[in-house]
Amino acid sequence: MDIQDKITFFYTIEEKLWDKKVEANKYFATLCILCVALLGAWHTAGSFLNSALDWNTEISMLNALTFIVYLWGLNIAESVFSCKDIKTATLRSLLIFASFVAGYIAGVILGVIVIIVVCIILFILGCYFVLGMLSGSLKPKGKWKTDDGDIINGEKEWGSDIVHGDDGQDYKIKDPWGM
Amino acid sequence: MNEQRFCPHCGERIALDTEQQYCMFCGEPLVDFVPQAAFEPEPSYKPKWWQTLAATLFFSVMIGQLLLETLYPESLGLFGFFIPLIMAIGFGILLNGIKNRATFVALIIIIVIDLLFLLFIFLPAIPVYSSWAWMNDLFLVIRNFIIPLSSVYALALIARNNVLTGSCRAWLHILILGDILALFWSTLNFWFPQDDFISIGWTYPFAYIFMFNNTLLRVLFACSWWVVARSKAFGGPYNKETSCDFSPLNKYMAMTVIAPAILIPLMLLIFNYAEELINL
Repeated sequence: MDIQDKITFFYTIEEKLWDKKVEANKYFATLCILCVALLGAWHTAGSFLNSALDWNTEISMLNALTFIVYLWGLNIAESVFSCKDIKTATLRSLLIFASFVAGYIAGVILGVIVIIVVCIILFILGCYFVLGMLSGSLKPKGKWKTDDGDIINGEKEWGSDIVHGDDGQDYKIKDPWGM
Repeated sequence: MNEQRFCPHCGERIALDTEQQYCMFCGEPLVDFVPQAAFEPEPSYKPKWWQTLAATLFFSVMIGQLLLETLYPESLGLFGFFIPLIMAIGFGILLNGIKNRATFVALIIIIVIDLLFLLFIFLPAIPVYSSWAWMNDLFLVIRNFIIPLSSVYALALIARNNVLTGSCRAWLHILILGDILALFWSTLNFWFPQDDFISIGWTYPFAYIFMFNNTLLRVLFACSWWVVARSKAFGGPYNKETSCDFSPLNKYMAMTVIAPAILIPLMLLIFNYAEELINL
């Protein structure tokens, strides 16, 4: 099974099921299923972004349903054209509808997973940022590197790049975050 | 049937029509006989130069129209005049290599359709309250109903009267789907005025998914014109005596009428009742 069979997966499946009874287009049904999956992903992600950030990205269930029916009608016509008998055409269009439902659900789940992964990545990045700030500000006493490259003992002023050294002098440090 | 069969034992040719069980030359039984043609791959057809020229014209014009519509919509006023003209020239080039009378008729129908699209450019010049206003309605009826139906009829003529490979026939089906889509949209506009669509919410952001799907379909249409123009149907030579089937009663015409007739009541039902069902 090479990569092209994986890309046009619906054509591969229908070739296995009905070998010479179907002469359908290689890309059309697969593209339609991928479009429905995209619609499902947009459905979750759009409603999440709408509720979280108040963006105008929400689509209603009504739109999704009409879009699926519209694409299904096209695919029914294509099955009638490409199948040799009416039984195969019926089974193929039913299989396409089942794939649409599966693709929609997969899109919804993928949308949820992508949102969760993005949230986790944002959380980890935020943790790094906050921890870096805290490590720069909560440990004012210790060793600091000055602009000249010397290492001195002293206490850093919070929120600035000035260190009050133990010898009574003030130094300017290179890295105010202390990292 | 012109395929030749050979005896697997002695290699002598066997007539196809006889139901003989033994080879007439070596006397060996022919039980496990497999036709020679089953092992040979399909002879690949080499398209003629005019087919490649016409296919290049179609593909570049359709992709160019798509790119211009998305990137630089202001240019379509001028370019819209050239699109049907170039397409008609491409079909005129394809007239070189027609195989039979049905393909000729189909190409003439498609060329006439493209020339009609040239006429539609002058449509906005007719004032709504003039005595020529009925021309607007006539043009709308022609554009919305007669052109898709006759286009499907022409493509069905090509599909039914030529020996095409399976994949080429499948690409031709995509073109027929495009005409069904045109008929579907014009019938949908007849049932739902534009205001209802906006109130239903067929707008931003749903329109983006719809535009994405539409773009994919249009790329598929360009690819299918490339494949169909380079198929055997336009590779000649012309045969006068081939009997052609001109009947409009075929599955393509039937689905052109049936698919919108099923889809539109279904969408009507969804629009009217599904909202209450979903919000239960």
